[in-house]
Amino acid sequence: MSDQNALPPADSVVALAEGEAGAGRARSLASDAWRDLRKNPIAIISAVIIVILVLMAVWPSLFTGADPAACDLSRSLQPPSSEAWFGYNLQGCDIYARTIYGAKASLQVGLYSVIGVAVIAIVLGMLAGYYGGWADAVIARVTDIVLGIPLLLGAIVILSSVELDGVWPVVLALALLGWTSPARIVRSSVISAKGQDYVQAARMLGANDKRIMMRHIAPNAMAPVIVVLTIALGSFISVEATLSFLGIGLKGEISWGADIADATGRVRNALGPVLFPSTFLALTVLAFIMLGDAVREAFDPKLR
Amino acid sequence: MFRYIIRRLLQMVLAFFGTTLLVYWLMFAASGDPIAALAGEKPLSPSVRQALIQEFHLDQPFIVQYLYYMRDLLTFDLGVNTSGRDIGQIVATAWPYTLKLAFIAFIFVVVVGITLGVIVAMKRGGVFDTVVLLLTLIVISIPVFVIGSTLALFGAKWGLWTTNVGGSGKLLAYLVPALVLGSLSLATAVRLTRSSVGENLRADYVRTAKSKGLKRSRVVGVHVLRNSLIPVITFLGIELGGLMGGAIVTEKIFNIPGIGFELAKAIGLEDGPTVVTIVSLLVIVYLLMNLLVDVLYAVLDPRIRYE
Repeated sequence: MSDQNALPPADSVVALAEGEAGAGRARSLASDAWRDLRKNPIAIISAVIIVILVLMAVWPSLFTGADPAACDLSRSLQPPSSEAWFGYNLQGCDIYARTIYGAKASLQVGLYSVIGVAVIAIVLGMLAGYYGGWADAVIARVTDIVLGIPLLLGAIVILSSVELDGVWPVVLALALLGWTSPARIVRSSVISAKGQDYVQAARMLGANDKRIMMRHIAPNAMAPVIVVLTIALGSFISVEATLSFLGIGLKGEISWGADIADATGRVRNALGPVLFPSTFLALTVLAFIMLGDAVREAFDPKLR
Repeated sequence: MFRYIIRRLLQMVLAFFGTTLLVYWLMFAASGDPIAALAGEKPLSPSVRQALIQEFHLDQPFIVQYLYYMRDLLTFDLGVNTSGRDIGQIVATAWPYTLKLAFIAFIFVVVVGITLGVIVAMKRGGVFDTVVLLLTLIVISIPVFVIGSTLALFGAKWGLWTTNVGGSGKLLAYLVPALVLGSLSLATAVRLTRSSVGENLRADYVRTAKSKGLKRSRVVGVHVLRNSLIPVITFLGIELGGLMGGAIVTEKIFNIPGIGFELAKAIGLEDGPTVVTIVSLLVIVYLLMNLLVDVLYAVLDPRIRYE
């Protein structure tokens, strides 16, 4: 915050110089934000963490040669060593390997449910904001109903009635319950974009509703949604871990939440099995929240 | 104002029926044969089966079943769970524990959250500000169950506080669980108060009050605080509803026999009626809190007029 306040003078000089060099090429809000982000140390740190996590999820064998499923009871609860950097858990599985392989499920849940939320929120929010009237009223009532269900409780109900392995039940539950506030944000930014002159101009040129929505309103109404969705990705990962901790989240996957839940009963004898997955989980959530905050600052014209 | 409350109430009724219908449908329509689940392993004779189907109205269409359920729910007849225990009784014994926990957590959030938020906003940019902001970010990103398990570990290892609260009536035993339950709201309240007070400190009326020669304590304590607490109070009201529902993890970790504990138990036993009833009750609490906040908002901020 404070160093950002100190930056603007130097920043604007550079921008001015570049503007002249670029011979009047107008820069969009997005490219402005991108320039800000590249200079923000918090954004860089969280982006690096996220890149490492994605690598872990896509290519876990890059980080560890050990097999997370190769467990040997004779090694149960052994402390960290050069063989297994984080030690072994109660079942004698390599905690480091399990932590690395656990990234995949968490990131999948976060990414897929955010995509689901984005689709529902953008479609409903744009319909409500653009058409107004009874479409707006119906969507507002549906939003009220879903908003009445707290995320964790609703997910518990959905998951206790769906019997499927893998990440999809959790993704379904989070996507069906998490779209309400993003949809409201889309709606209000669509309403403010709708009144702009360029939309009137496009309509006068004979553009139809679909073209106006896709080409003119959508690109200008997306910035606040992207911020909310980035932060939501972090919190969805946290909710997934909580559900797995309660024993109804991911089934048949290596998951940080489930590993933490398994180990908490014996935490007095062995700290490692709880500590390492918890640290990775917290770092992941922190990275997405910090990145969301940084993107918000970069997109906020008031901070310029 | 009156008309606004009436309209808001009607919206709430609609939301209540929609939400409970959704929960009811998820729990029952999506699950298999409830009679078979009730009977367990022993096969039922066709006549007993027929009688049970009649008793539970399973031969009626889904919406009629739902209406029967709502009739009983609204006349405070919560029915029995799958093992024959009265759900109303389960809720009545569990409720006081959750209420106690949620209120202590709420007091933590209000007192510590607002105080810290105001102090940090006054010293914006300082070392204390940076440290508190960093701490709140860390608390927000660590899931509640990790914070809870860690504090339970410390408590057990050095005997600092009890980790098995059980049914003990001692208020002291609830302090740490309440802190765990409120940690996320506390961190969010600090950040919210900080940004809200910070915004108001730069407002014109504060400059006017200062140049008038008012004491700093009066400028902050009366002028700034009154204006900047409005969004904070909205947040806190919604959180109080959320705290009661969100106690499921905390109650599980610290073994408190409250609503969340019963809910977790019912989920484990696949006890559909108990899950639906408890979730429906929590939804009612949540909706009522939201209504209260909206009305309070109008009372606190005279600039807001509702037609």
